[in-house]
Amino acid sequence: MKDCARISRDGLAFALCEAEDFQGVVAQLNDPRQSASDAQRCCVALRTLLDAEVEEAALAEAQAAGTLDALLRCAALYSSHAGVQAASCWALNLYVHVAQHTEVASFPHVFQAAVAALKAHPLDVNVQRAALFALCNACCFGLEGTPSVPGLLDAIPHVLAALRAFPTDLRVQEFGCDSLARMCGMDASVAEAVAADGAMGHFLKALNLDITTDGTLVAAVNAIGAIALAPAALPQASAGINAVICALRSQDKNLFAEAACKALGIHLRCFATRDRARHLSADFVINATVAKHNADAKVQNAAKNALQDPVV
Amino acid sequence: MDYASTLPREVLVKIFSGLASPNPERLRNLCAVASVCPSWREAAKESCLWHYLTVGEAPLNVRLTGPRLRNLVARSHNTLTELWLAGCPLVIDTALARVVQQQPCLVRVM
Repeated sequence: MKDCARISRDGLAFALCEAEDFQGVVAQLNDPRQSASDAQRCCVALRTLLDAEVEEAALAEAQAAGTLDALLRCAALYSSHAGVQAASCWALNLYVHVAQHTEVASFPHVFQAAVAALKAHPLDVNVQRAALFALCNACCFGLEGTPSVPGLLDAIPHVLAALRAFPTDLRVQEFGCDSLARMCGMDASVAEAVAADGAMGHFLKALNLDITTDGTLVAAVNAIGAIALAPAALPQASAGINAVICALRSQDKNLFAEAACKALGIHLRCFATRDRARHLSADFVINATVAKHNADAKVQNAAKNALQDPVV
Repeated sequence: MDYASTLPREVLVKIFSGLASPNPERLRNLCAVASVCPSWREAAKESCLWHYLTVGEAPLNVRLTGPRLRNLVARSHNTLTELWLAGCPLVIDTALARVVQQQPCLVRVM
């Protein structure tokens, strides 16, 4: 509710669950007599309270009230209720986001709650969106404490199932690709498993969605880059390179250009895919991108790194 | 011949659902298609197009009042899932409270 001068967060929280601070809402959420729909409202209220302008103060209050534990408990308790799952995942998202700079960010339980939500409601688009975003945030801000490789491997089929179930939903595609890309960055065996499960096809589809915003495209290109070095992705490397080059020719946004240069650079600097990338003129396209985005330092830097010699 | 107006309602709704993708122009797009012809107007009233309400673009946001917000939300037939308001100086706490209290499917208010 940005720039809505006559709306207050505590007023909205009170409208949702008749409590206007973290203590009150968490007390309600922890009440065993609470119904699922009331729990859902409490989760929405907590998300509203966390979305404050002064994040540090909101986080301190949330921590004092035990918000994270209450949300995780609620998510586990109402695992069969889609509304609670979606609302709790959105609230957990924001908690992770707010907490990223102010504490030792480690959110393995958020990761597990998101995977549980993905498993429990595979055909509910709202749950899938919220859970994929939570997964993405947990990977992004909580690298230190993320689950071990088996935990990550357990999440992969469910993320791919979401990408398969909602092929035209931009947010599912964006958060799904992004979370897979981040998981691949944690361990090489995860990248191998993602590639072996046929993720490249989903990334290519996401890259070809005709959209006005570039979030999905950037996430898809990052994901293609993330599995580029996995042996299981080698047979489809040419398709990936070609798709990135085609998208790069039609898109002129800096963020996308930077991500595409990085993805092409991974292919160019890998001995196994270098010849294919050069055959498809990836180096020429990167040079053309440098000329086109000559005012953007990030694109220049990504292009410069991409054109370096192969990694031995 | 106006082929667009001969399309079945379900097909129009499917097409319009593409306009309802998550971007700040969603509301403007839906309002624009609703003013093309009577059949498009009817199709644009479909509740599934109004699960996500985003009001953040001028001039719609600065003109949004409590009753107008209620009318927009009513199009979802109590299936509103996400509400995103930005730059809406005329919407007050009590009006928003009245709206959100009637939405059992709400999972996020921004």
